[in-house]
Amino acid sequence: MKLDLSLYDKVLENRIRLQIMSVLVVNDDYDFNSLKELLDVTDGNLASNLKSLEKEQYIEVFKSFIGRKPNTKYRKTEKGTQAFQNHLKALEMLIKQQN
Amino acid sequence: MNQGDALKDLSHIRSLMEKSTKFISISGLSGILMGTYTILSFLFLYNTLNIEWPNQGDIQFNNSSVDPKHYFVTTAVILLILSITTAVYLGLKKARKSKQSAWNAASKAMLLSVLTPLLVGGIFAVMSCFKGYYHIIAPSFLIFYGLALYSGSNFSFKELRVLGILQIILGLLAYAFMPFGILFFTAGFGLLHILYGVIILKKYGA
Repeated sequence: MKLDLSLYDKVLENRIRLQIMSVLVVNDDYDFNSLKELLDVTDGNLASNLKSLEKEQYIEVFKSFIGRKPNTKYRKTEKGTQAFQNHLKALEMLIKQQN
Repeated sequence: MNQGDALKDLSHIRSLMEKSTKFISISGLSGILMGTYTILSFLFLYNTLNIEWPNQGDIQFNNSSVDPKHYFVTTAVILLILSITTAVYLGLKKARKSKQSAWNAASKAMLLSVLTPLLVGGIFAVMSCFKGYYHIIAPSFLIFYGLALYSGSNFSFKELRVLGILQIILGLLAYAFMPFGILFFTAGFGLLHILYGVIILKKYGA
């Protein structure tokens, strides 16, 4: 099988970003702290990867407050979902091809 | 990127999708314990009140020296408190062990969907108690509890859905065969919980 490199997503090559997308794809939204805990990463690392996903318009950011504490939620976009699915297809092909 | 990396990525994705949507800190052992408490409660009531079901008519309490209602309500309250404490305690313990936070997005979503039918059921049971409709408490409790499990199962083990449906069926049967309500309750909250606990223990461990 020919490897279709067009599906492979450079943005999602980073494991943290790929993990963020996989959480957001199956949930309506997810907040920063829950993500941090789930992925077991530092604030800075998570924030910078979220930022780059936001820049690519793969995710949307919603800021609100619970009491006085800021509560930031993230949601996937249509574009992000598509990119994630394509990337999964590319990974699948990669595995099949080398088998 | 090579094949090994791709495989690792895919398995990461899979486990995250599971972990982020499912609340898995439900202990099988707590099911077994809750079921055992229920059966012990039933045996206690059965023996102290000397319960009998005549061929015709209502349930009979042959021990006239005590007030059966008082015994029923007290036992039920103790049973509920013990069950909730056990489930929460063992759930937290399991969460610690699996390094999943017990208070995460999945557990919040689950709590919200479970709480609505449970609260309505609780209020309904207390109201029935004050109105003197004691017979309706066991069937309605099973029905509301089953509905709670059914809606909570969206965020947890799929086995929870089956357990919920079975509780609802038993609740409806308990309503149909009214004076035998506590027998159905013992079957639902007792035997089914034990069975469910054993299945969860075997399948998922702990």
